[in-house]
Amino acid sequence: MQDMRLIFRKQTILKTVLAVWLALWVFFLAREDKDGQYEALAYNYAHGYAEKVGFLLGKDLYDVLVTAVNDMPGGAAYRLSGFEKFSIDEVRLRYYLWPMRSSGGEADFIIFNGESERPPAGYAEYRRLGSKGGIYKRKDGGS
Amino acid sequence: MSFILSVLSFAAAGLFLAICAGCRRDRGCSAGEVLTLSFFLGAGFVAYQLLLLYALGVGYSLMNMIMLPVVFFVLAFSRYAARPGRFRELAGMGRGKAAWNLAEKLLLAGILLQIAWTVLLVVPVPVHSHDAVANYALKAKIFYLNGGIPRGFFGWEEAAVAHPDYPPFLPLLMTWIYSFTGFNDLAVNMVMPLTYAAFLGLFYCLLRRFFERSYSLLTVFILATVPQLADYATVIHSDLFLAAYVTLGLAYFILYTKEGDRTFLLLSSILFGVSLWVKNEAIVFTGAFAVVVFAFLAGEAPRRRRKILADAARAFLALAVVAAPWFAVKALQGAPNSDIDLSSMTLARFAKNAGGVPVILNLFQQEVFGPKKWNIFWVIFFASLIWKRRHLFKGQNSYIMIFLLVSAAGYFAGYMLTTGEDLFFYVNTTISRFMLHFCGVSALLAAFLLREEVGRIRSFRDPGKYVFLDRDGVINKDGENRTEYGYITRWEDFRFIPGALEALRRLKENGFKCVVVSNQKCVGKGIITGEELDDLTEKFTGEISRAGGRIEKVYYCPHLDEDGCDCRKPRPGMLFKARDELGINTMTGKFLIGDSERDMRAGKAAGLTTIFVLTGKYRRDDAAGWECKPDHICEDLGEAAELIIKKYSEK
Repeated sequence: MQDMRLIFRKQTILKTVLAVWLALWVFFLAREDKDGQYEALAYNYAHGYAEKVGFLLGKDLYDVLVTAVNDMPGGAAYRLSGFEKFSIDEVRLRYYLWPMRSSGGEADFIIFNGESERPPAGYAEYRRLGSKGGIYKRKDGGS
Repeated sequence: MSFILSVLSFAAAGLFLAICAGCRRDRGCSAGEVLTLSFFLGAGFVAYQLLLLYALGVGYSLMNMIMLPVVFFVLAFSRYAARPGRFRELAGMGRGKAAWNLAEKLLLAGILLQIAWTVLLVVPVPVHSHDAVANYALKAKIFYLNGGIPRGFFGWEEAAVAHPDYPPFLPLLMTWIYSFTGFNDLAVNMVMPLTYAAFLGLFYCLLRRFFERSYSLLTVFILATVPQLADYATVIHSDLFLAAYVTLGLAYFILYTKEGDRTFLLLSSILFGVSLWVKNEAIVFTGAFAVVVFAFLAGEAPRRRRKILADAARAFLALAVVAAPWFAVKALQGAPNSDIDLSSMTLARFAKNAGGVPVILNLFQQEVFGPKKWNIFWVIFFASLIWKRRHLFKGQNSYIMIFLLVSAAGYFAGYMLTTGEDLFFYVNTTISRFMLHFCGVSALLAAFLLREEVGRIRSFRDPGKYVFLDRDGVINKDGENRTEYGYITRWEDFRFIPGALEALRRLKENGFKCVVVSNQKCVGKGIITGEELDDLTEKFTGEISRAGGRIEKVYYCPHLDEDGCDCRKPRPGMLFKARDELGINTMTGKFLIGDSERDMRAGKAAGLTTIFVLTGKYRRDDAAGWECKPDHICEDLGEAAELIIKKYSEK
């Protein structure tokens, strides 16, 4: 009898755990929208690749990216400025800009984010997108 | 379409490798198992081949890349085309005959829904998360646009690409897909839900080797719906691959411990070998794999060790061959390995970081008990460990436990030795992902620990029909007063009890699996050797097979009473070992047939229904005086078999 009670209790616990698991699963699936994921999903389903990238990067950064891709020569070496090191914006730019190559040392171009004071020594302003950011180019033309 | 072609092409190579490794129907490999295993072996093959092409200076044109898979596919096809019946066999492998109950249908629907959900989330979104872009997608883009890995790539500066020395599995796999689809970082994302589905599929097939369908589905459902695992199926990260290769590798090893077939150890070692291409953390898991192989070796009887040692040598050779190209290229290029810098791993650093142990423990407990949405998995897992603490180091459980403990210790040592300055930052940003690596293995252990308890719930009741039989006095005539030493030590002395062969045939025909559990202290006394006993076993089980019956497995206790072992009846150790190794959910409703009170007591202790037969040295009157009375008394095995068949048909 005692054994039966024990089994019943264990079974009840297990069934409860399984029921809680199921309930949480449904709850978590429904909660996927907590950060506006459904809206983002709907946007991505409805738009083309360029718009999706723009959505990911945000308008300002996307404009900087498009300017860099259009106006910098393919294969140019560049350095990023004004980005937090290892930030998602930095790594995304590096990804989309390839085959332009990010360089730790001397670079042909500096792509800066947001407002920037004046170009560093040896560089001149190349493109500026208001407060969004812009591009400096090395004065000697680079490699 | 081109994405599907890219996957089919490497899966074809994987199929060939799976067949070469010995995946066959007679090893119980189902079609699902072969196909999903082909995916993982094929993905490993992609990385292997592309790195070899790089080493040989051959560019990544589509032609160069698919040449070997095409050859492999033709070889695999011709092997099957030689006997067309094999196609039908492959297609029909593992086809279930029993109808699915409601719980099974719901669980399957849940798993499919979860997979479909991940696909829905992935389809419209480009590669976007931090590591996906920084560590994998950029490399794949470089490899693809360059038509191969640029010379000296693995030594590039971090400013150009993050961690160029990182294991290249995922970038190479993406490069392969790009070669078919063109540069398309929408389509390439689909590899993750596909990996997730293949992982769950192969995990299910391997669980079915141990458990019945409903319980296997439940375990897969639990794993599939761990939110973090599902989340990782929607982003290009190698963590899901690592979790999959490690879990499946260990599952194949556990299968090897159960069945002793070296093919499973070989597959296990290949999967661990591929994991070394996936992430640096795989070094820890591969080390833990080596430890469990040697733990298994040490725990086996001396006469079996030579075979296991030979199997292990072959498996580790395969592992070395699989892993070698990556490490060779890395060493030859002087890749700096920014994550694992051996020169900075010093005792001084360990001692410095030791002060941060409370930090690790605190973050660990937050992962387990904190408010994160997937913690319930770990709560259930740790609760299972506490609940079933007495079973942690029994049977297969012990190998999974050792694997988990050694791996966890390895990760801990990794934190202590590789973290430079900010231990809190490093642990805080990685522990959640690192625990994901343990999800599958933990689910496997929990499945073994809880199977008996869950098996008591009606929907998950074990339908397996097992009959445990004593040998002497039940199947064959007892040796007492008849043979030289009073034991059956020679085949010439082995006499089947009339009707026993017929009874075993009847049991087999009615779907029962027969397992022999027998005390054989003649081994402990030195009257007969283990090899001679094995020889005798082979002969009598062969005779039973020829008569139409089948003995699933034979367990002997070779010890003497005074040895105090757990396996000698009346102790139930042998029955529990059989339960663990055969993956029986619950002993409830299964039978033991014996000819002595020892048998009855062992059967009762294991939770079996006991049947006493009168073909041994005890009579019906004797049983009346026993402290442990049998549930049923039958004249012989034939009558017992009919009783069991009748009892089941009544159910």
